[in-house]
Amino acid sequence: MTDIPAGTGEDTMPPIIPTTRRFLSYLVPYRVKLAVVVLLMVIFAVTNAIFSLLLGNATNIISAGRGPFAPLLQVITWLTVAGIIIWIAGTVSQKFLADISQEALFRIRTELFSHIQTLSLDFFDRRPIGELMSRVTNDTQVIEQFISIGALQTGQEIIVIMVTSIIMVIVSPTLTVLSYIIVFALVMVSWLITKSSGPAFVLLQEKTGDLNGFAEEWLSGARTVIACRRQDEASRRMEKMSRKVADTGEKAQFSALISQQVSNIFTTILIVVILVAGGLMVMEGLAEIGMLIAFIAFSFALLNAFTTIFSVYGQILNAIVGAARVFEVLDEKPTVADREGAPAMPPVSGDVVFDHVDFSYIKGRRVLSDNSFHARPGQVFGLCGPTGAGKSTIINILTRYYDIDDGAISVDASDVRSVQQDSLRIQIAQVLQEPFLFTDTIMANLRYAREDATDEDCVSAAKQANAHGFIMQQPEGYDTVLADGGANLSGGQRQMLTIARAIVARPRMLILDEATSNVDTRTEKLIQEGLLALQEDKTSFIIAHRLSTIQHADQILVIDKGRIIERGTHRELMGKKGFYYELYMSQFRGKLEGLVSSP
Amino acid sequence: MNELKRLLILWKDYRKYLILSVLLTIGGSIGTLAIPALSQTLIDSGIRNNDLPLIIRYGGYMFILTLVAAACQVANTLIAVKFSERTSDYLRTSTYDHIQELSFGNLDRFRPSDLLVRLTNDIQNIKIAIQQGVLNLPLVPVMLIVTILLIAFRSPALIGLMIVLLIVFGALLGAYFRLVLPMFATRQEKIDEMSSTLQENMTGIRVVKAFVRRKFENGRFEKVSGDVKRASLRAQTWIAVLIPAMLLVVNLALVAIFYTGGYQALEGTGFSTGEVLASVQYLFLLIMPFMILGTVLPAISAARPSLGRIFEILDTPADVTDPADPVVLDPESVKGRLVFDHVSFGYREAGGKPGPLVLQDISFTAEPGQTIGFLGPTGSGKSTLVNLVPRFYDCTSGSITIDGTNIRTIAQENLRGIVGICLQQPNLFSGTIRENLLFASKDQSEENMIAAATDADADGFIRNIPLAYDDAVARHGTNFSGGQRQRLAIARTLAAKPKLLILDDSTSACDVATEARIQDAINKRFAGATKLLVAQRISTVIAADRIILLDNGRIVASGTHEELLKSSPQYREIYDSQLGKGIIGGGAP
Repeated sequence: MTDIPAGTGEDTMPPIIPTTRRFLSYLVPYRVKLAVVVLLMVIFAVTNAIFSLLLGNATNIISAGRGPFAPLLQVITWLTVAGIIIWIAGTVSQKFLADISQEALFRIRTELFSHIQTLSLDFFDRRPIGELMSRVTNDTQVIEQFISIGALQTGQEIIVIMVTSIIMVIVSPTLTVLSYIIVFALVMVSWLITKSSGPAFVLLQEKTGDLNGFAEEWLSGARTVIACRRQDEASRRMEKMSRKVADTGEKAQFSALISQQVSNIFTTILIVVILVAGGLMVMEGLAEIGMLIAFIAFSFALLNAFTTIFSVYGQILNAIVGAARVFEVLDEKPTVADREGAPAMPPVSGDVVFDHVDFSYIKGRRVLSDNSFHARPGQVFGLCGPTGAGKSTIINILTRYYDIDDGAISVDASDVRSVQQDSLRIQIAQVLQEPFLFTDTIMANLRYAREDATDEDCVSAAKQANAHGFIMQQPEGYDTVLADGGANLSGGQRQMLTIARAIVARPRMLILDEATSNVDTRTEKLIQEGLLALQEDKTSFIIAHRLSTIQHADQILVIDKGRIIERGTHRELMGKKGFYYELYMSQFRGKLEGLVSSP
Repeated sequence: MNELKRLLILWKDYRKYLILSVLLTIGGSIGTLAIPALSQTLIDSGIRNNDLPLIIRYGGYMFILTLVAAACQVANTLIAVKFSERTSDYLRTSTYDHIQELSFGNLDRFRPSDLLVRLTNDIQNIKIAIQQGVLNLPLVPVMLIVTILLIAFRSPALIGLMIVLLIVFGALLGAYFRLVLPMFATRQEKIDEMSSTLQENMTGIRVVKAFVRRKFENGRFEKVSGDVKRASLRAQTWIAVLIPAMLLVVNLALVAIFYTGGYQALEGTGFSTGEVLASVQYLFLLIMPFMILGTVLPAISAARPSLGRIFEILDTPADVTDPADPVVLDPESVKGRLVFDHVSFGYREAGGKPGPLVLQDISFTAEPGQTIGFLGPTGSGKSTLVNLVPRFYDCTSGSITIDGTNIRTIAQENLRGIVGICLQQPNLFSGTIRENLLFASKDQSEENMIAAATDADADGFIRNIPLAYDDAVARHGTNFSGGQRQRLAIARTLAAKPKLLILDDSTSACDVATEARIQDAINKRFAGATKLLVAQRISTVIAADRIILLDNGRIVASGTHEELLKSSPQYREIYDSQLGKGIIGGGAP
């Protein structure tokens, strides 16, 4: 077993006090309720102690032997009252804490979500979706658990410890010292167990993570494993990992479960010690027998309080880590930010100029170098080149998903960085390679492009995009809900819906990232018609995977390794017999006999 | 119940440990349960009679019993932990081993993501249930019975109170199961809804930004997270009612003990101080079984469906099985003549029944060295067709032969050593590039690996990486672009030196020039092998010896590119739409 150096956890521990302070600021709106909760906790603890004292009282009355019933009845009446007060205080404080924690959680979550919405795309590039999701769901959840369970318990137990200790010292300092010795012994032992089980759990988590990672990768690649005949290897690896998990699990679980037994042992030891020591005191006339009963109850409360705080401690640390992870995202600033007082972009005609544009996603790794071109209103620009050449990047910076390193991009003579990004983006419709639709009705998906679009706008757009026909064939027409983002439609149908959606947007400019997903030729024709309807009178940029799509473009930009290496119409580029010509000809693989028309 | 039986059968060899565990539980409980009676004597005969030796003696007894109980419980914990970990290890490995036996058809129906959940979450549920079950479940009847007997014999005056308490605790536990747990289940559903909204938003973030719908998305999220808030609040409100109510019942019961006991003590009709104290301890012992049930039962009820899901995998036979007495083909001497003879195929449905036919009456012959291209729209059956060759699925009717041997008579392992396929999904595994490239090959030599990588046009970019062939591949190969992943996957297939090579749309993410280079290299080094190319792009198959055009599971045309251009209007249509009216040279008309 690898030794985990002590304090592995602390390395990643965020600063506790600032994190806690910031977190507490979320509770400020509920300070009145919170104050009530604290008050109720004090009442709870005090009444609990009184309850124990009353029990001692009752014992004294009983142990005195035969006598009148009235004094006992009085004590019993008070006991009942105390029991009811404890009940009410407990119920109300728990309910209030539930209210507070849920409200605070809701606020943190929605704030986090809406903050994430303002961040630029590079933020999403840097983090896998799963990780982001876990921040919004799990990390906030840890915080909730902390407020609703952890804080309640810690707060309550701390008050219990204070109140009980004070009363204990007043009643019998000797027995107080004895109880505290045992309680501290328990705390020490528990601490030792946690210290030894902590690393075991870390190791278990690590091994479980390894196993899950392996299983995920090899199960999703199960077909490849079969094709490559490596099933035995897969089984062998799994067996090894599973064994490791079981071995470490045994150690970790054992030490965790054993701590429960330990606290049971200490509970009994406590009873024995108080009975024996207290018994001696009673015999010496130093104490009454009822006091013994009260003391047993007190030290139970004490023991319980310490074990609870101990078990909640880990939760508190988790909550701080969770809160820190949430705040880390909240502190992210959008990298593409509007300048202060930037004006909105007025409706554009679509005159786009790239002036010596350089760009890199990651500093130092240039993706586009020195690109210049000028697209006039209504022109169709085709972009082609090998995969990874930078075609999509040109689109990403035109829509200002990212800001460029050097040079300038202007639309209608205003630099895109000088206007509000939303006002520019809303004028550019995009049809992306992967058609993305929401799990909602078809109508809602179409209207997504423009909030104030009427049903008629959406239907007429669907007609233009040739989508109306198949939409009407859906069970509920435009009101059909797309399950799982349109899993019930074919790739081509999804594509047509995204085209219709782009038409609804009434854009001034257009970006098409040609779909690679294959559709039958009829659907393909319908899609092409839809796209033509969309392109009308708009400056359009088309990223082509099939060169036939851009043959009619006013200008084709051939991009390789981040530079525009050739430009011109299809005819001009073919005449050049350069890179484009090669690319074009390789499609035919020499099968041109009898097909080539005269040059 | 059947599942439980199977689990018990699984434990046949461990039965003695289970019996030992129950014995330990009984021993531990008796140790714990004896404490109240001892403390009663200690108070009544010791303290009240000023009998110091008795106090110390009884204190000693109590201490020893405590240690004995603790020892029993520790030993039992050891058994419980060992048991749960070993059982889950066994279930995990045997389930995974079984998954390795399954065929593509089984995997289609189970889905890998679902299998993963079963292997992780379901096994975890089972583990916790076993652990809690072994550790705590036997405690419930033992403690309940012994406590009831103790009260009945030692303090019969409290029997009435005891019955009331049993009913109230039972009711509280019932409320917890009936009301509160379903509320937590509802809450979980709401959380899942929130997660899927979240996931959709983040996957579609480009679309959200493109149409500037931030505010709309905020509203959408506020609604789902508001649902989570309300559902959580409802569940927690019930907890806020139940837990203090439990405490109230305990406190009132204490009061009742003092009332009953005290009355009798003051009357002189029974009950000593010690007995009152012992009764209080009985009260706490009486609650314990209910507390235990509160934690153990949810664990067990969560584990039951999990166990069912695990056994479902174990009970699923593989769709494709090896013949009892397989024909052995020597991969070295195979020529690779592939014949499809009136082959039809339908995917099996969940019940194992054959579904609608997706391939109908497919017949063709591929001669050694030939390249056959398969073209057709999505869903036309191209991938399905080539998946029949390595017996990923068995055809429903008709026959497929290699060099005249029906592939059903060959063991899968043997067959797949002859047929190499590069799947549509280029799965890479974390490890080194070297490990990935040699994943399928017998020949683990450096030359073989480099030759394969070179043919797949991957050698160039591999050498540009710092550690070249020994550099790391991240999980799922995410550190490579789609085109690079495809080329690595092709290299992996080539390194296995198949006699029958299938590329299932394996170059879709590469540009046409790269694709042409790869095909030329393959034609050179695998000149003698039979090659099947599946493609969506016409350029991929344009140079094939024969192109088979599929539509709706049937062969609609077959021939060389030139023949098809003349004879098949459907082919012509695809050609026109992809390569643009077929005319270039000077430019567009």
